[in-house]
Amino acid sequence: MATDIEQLPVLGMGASLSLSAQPDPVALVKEKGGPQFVEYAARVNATDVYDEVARIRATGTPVLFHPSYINFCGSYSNSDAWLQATQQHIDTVDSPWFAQDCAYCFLDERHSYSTQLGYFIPPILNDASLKLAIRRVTEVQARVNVPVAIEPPPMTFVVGHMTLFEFFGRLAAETDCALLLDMGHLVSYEMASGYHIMDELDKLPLERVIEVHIAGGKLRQGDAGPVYVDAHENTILDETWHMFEQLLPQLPRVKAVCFECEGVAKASVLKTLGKVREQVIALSSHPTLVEMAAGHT
Amino acid sequence: MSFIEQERAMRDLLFDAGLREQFSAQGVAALSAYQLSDEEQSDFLSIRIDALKIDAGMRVFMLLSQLAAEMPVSIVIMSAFEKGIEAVKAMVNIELIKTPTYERGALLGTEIRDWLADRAMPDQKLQSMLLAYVGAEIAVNWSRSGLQKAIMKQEYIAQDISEIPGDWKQKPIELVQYVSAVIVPRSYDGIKKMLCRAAGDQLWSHTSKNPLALEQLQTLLGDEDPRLLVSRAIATQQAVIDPGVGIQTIELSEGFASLMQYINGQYSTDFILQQLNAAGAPDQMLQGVEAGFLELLKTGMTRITE
Repeated sequence: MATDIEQLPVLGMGASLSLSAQPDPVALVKEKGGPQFVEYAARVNATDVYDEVARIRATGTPVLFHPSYINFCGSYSNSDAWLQATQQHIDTVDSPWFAQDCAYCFLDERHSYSTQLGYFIPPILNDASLKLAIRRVTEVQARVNVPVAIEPPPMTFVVGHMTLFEFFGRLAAETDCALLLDMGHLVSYEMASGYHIMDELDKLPLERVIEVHIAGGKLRQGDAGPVYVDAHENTILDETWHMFEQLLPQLPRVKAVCFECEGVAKASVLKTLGKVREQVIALSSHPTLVEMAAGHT
Repeated sequence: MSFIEQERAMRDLLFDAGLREQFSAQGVAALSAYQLSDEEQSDFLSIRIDALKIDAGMRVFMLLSQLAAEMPVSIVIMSAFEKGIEAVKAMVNIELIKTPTYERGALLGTEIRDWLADRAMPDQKLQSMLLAYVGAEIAVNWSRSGLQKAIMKQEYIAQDISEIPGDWKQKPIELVQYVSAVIVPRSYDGIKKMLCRAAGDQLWSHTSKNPLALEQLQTLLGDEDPRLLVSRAIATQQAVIDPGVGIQTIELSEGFASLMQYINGQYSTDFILQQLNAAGAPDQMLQGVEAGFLELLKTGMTRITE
């Protein structure tokens, strides 16, 4: 499906939560200053999460389905049956768009979750890989009736000669898809590659960025410097906040800012959401998003 | 010269420790076995080797966190041996990654069994006890993967546990599919509770940081009191593309093992009891056998043959 970004709803400040663990999403959205939408990861079959999602939606809170089983890159195509079930899932929960990391979830003909590889394997950044990624994104768009947004994944290491934003910029332009930027993932790329994201902005169609993620992480010290590790239960690193502060003013059409906080205590979630809101009010160039943030304070 | 070779090389760098070491020492020359052009090979020059090693280590950790939940007792047993933890980490390799996820638990179990079988142990009895627990977990995993495959191939027909008729003892009974029965030296559930100080995906993290001492393992295993561990794989989600499978277990007295061969659709419980009675089995044993047959039926591990 082609991407009409203007038509997408502005969701405001949200939280990515585990539906079966603390903090309870319903309790959280009812709190003053709680998330304005809930994002969740789940298995492909909507029946697994239907009751939990219905509880959230009954509060008037929209949800975003954010899985980890789509190959948005590489030689191995997504199975029709999985894509069909994905569409059913999206329909069932009424997710306004469908976003996931553009990375390998499976490395053969067997469609599966990224967990079977430990977690996502990042795409190879070269022309051959870009051609296949275009094919993968297009095949998903053909089967999913909401706009697709692709996300640069966590990059502990880099294979390929292209820069991250050149790859994703060309991919987004060729497929007319939207983009999701995770601040920690961008920090990970900087550490893995030595490039600076802010030097690459002209390569990415920033007006296609509809969602921003911010989450906890940790640094592991390697022989050649630090390595960023996604760790949502941890606090947000200074490097990640800094990336957020630099990038947010450059993203004129962001519809949703999501604090990924699975495993974080409720009080900490609310406190961090408060800080995210302050930053959005101070820095975002999207008036509606700022209004939503201000209306919640 | 193809992109798919680049993908293969990247996968192998992540899951083949030997190749990673070569790459660390020789750079892209280590990739000469792959059909890569110079330009394709040069794409790997951008890899920070220290970061690749950290990444690979994290993947092993994540995968073992999943797998430990399927082979809990086996994992804790391995921790009690010198280099046991390192051996388990090394079992997360290319072969495991190429194996379908639903068969990985059994594959890991088989490798653990072979490793333990090759170890010099303080005594042979300890070795056979340990191998029995690992064997039981392998059997459970095979039942699980068998059912998962059947659901995916649409070859599985769900059967509800029907109400047990009053005359159940007179009717021939049979085992249902995806049931395994293995003799273990002591109650599996009891041993699991004693050995596994964390559950689910936390077990590997806990065990790898707090390995058991071999003496402690021997003490916890205690004296033998053999039980028959009967397990059944159950479809928790009968979806072709992503089925859910759970495991149900019961434990019966060891003596029940010799009766399992008669649960084949030809013999009734009464017939088996009569044969035992004729062989001089005491009343208490007969009552125990009858209770065991009833429990198997109630839990859906056997059914009345139509």
